[in-house]
Amino acid sequence: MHYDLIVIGMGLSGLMAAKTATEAGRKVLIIGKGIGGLALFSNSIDVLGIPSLAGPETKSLKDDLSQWILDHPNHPYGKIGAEKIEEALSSFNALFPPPYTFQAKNGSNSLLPTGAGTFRPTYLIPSTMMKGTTIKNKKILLIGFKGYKDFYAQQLADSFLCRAVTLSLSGMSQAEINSTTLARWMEQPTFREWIGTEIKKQILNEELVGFPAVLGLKDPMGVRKDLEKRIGLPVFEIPALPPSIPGMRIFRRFKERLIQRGVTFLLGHSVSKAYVNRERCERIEVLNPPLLTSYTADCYILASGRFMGGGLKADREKISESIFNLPLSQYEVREKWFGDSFFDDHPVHGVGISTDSTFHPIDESGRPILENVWVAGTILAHHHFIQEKSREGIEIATGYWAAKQGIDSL
Amino acid sequence: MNQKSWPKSNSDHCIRCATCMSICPVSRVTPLFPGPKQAGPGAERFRKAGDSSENEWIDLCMGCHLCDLVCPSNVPISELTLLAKVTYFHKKGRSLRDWLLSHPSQFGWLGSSFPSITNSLLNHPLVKCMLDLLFKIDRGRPFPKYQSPTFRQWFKTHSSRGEKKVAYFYGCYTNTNEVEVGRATVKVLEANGFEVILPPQNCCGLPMLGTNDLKGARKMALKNIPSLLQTIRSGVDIIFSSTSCGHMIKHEYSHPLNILGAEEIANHTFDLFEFLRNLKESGNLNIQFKKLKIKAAYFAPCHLRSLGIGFPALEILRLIPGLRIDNIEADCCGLGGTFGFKKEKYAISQEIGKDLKEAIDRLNPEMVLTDCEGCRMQIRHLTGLKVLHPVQVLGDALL
Repeated sequence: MHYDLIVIGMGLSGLMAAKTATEAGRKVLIIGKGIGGLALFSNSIDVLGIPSLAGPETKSLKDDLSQWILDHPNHPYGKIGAEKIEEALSSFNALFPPPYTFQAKNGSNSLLPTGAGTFRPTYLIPSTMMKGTTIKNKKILLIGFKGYKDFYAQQLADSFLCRAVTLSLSGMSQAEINSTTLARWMEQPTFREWIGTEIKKQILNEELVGFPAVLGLKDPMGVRKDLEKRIGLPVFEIPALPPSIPGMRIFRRFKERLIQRGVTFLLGHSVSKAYVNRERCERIEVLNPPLLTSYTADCYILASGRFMGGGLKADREKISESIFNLPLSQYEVREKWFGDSFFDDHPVHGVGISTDSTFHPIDESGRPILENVWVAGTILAHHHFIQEKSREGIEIATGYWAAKQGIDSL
Repeated sequence: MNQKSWPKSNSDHCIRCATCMSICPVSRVTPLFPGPKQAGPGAERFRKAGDSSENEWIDLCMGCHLCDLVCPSNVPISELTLLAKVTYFHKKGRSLRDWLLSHPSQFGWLGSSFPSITNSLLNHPLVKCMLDLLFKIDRGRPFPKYQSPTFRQWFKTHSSRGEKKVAYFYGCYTNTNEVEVGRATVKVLEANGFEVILPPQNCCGLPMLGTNDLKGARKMALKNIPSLLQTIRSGVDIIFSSTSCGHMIKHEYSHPLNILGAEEIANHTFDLFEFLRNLKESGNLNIQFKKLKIKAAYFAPCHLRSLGIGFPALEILRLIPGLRIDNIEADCCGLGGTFGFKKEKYAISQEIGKDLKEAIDRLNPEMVLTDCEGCRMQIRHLTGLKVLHPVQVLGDALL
C-alpha cells in the first residue's frame, strides 16, 4: 500500500506529525509499537524548565526561550525558533477544546507538585492539574487509596507540609489497584458519592484537595466538578507513577482525531527494516509474525524515540539507530556515557540523530543522508530533556515541523 | 529485528513500564487480575520451564492481545500468559463445561438440523438455569440462534461465477448461526468478478485456545492445513470474514502452534476488507454503490487490531454515499469468545462491555457494524441495537 507520508513511531512526536499531515489533506500511515512516553510520564507539557525559568518571578517563557535558543543553536529548538514552537504548541492545543485544556499560567512556567513530593517546572498544564500551582499558599488535604501503590499521599504530605488521608476501599483490602482501575471507578457516580462523603468527613480547615491523577479518562473535568460538589472544596490532580492517565487522555484524543480523518492507524507493530536506494527510502517492512508486509510512501518521518522504545539500541560497546542505521552524534566510548552519580546529566542522553535545519538526517560533514526521510522527537541529538524539562515541547515542535517539511516536498 | 528472530518467549525483555497495564480491559475492571505485566513476564520469572502457574487468576486473561500491541519491548505477553494457562489447566484438568464451549462445531450441525427446537431450548429459562448450575455457563448470556439451511447447504444450491477464483474460510459461526454474513460475502466477492470456492474446512480451533486446550487447537489446525495449503498452492487466495478465525489462521497457527505450512498459508490469506482495499489500491474495486441513508457506528474487534492491517472495513464503508459511519472509541467488547459465557467471568465480561456501551450510546447510531461474531453477540446483548457485519451493509449498497 502506498501513502503520501508514513510516520514511524506513535509517541507524542509521531502523533503530532501524523496530525499535521492528515490535516493538510495527506494520506497518512502511522505505525508504532507502544505509545511512547504518554503511558509513562506526567504529561503536562514541558517546553523548557531550566532553573532560571522556573522561579516565582513570572518571566515570559517565549522571551527566555529565544535567548536560550541563541545560546544552544544545535538544540532541536534551534532549528525552529520560539515563534514556530508557539505555532506547534497551538496546533497541539487545538486538539483540546474546553473544558479540558492545556494552559500556561501567565504565559510562563509554573511549579507543579509531583508524585514524588517535589516540584517541577512545566509550561502547559491540563485544567485538572492547574490548581496544584497554588499548593504552597494553601492548606491542602491529599487523598491516597489503600492498595494503590503508585501514590503515597502521606509521603507527599510530609514533603509538602500538609495533611493526607488514605481511603480504604471496602472489600479491596487484599488487592492492589492500578491507575487505570482507579480512573475507571472515578467515572462512576456511586464511587464518587462514596469517596466524596468520606473525604468531607475528614476535612478540618483545608482549602484545596489533591488527588493522584486518576480523575477519569474520558471526562476528567466532569469527574472533578462532581467531586468538588460533593466535597465542597476545589480539587486538583497530581501526576503519579505509570500507567499515566493524563497521558492516556492525550493518546486517546489523538487516536480519535487520526482515525476520524482516515489515517491508517497501526498500533502494535514495529518497522523491522527499511529499504534505502540512493538516498531515498523506498519502502518499510513490518513484521507481524509470521508475515512481513511492505508499505511505501513519498516521505517518511522517523519518530521512533530513544532506548525504551527501541529507536536507539545500545549494547556493551556501541549505540545504533535501529531502522535506517543512521550515524549518531555526540557519541563517545562507553566509559564516557555516564556521570558518576545517578542524577548527573549523563552524556549518553545527548546522543541521537543530527539533522539539518529542515530535519533531514545528516552525516559528519553536514550533508543530508536521506532526501525523503525527516527525523522528529527525542531521537534527535543535542538535547537533554530530563535536565532541561523539555520533552513534550521537543516532541510537539519537531513532530509538527518535520511533518511540514515532508508535506512541502510533496 | 529480522524474520528469523521474531519475539521469543523471553520475559527478561520486559522493562516493567506498565504500558500494558494502561490498556488491559480485564485489569481495568477487576483487581482480581493483576494485569498482563504480572501474568505474563512478571510471573514467568518464577515459573521454570514446564512449571504451571500457581494462581487461578491467570485464567482471567481474555487473550485479547491488546497488551502485545502496546509493549515497547516486544515481549509476547499474551503468549506467555497463554502458555502458563495451558500448563495450569493441563495439571488441573479441564472441565466438561470447557469442552462444551470449545467444541461448538461438534453440535452445530445438530442445532441447524432442528433449529426451532434448539433455539427455544437453549434460550429457555429452565434450561439456562440448569446449564448455569451444572456447567457454570452463565444464565445471563444469551445463546446465538441456529439457522437452517446452513451456509454450506445454501452454497451447494448456489452457482458462483467469476473470472478469477477466491477461496472463502467462512468459520463455524457463519455456517450455522449467521448465514446472511456468508451470503453477503459471496455477493460482494462475485460483484468484484470472483468465483467463490469453499475449500474443505473445519473449526479454526480458536475456541480451544480460549479454554486453554493447546492440543485441541493444534488438532483442528492440523485438520485444516492440508486443504488450505492445497488451495493456495493452486494459486487461489483465501479470504475470511471473521477476524477471529482469520487471526487464528494467519498468526496463531504459526505462534504458538508452530504448524508447518502455516507461514505459507498466512501469506495468501486475507481479511475480506483488506482484500477489497487491495482491489481499491489497484483500481479494481467495484464502487458502484447506491445511496444508503444510515447512521452507523463501527467497532474494531481486538483480533482485527492484532492483525495489524488498520481498519479496512471503515475505509471501504466510507466510500458508500449517504452512509454516516463513526468509529466507536472503545477498546474491547468484553466477550472474549468463550470467556464471557463462563459463570465466573460473566460479570467481568459485562463490566468491560459497559465502557463500550457508553461509547455507543454517545454516538446514538441506528446500527453497529463489526467484523467479529463475538463482538456482534456482545453488542446485541449490551445495547439491543441492530448489529451487522460490515459486509452486509456493503452487500446492500451494491447496485
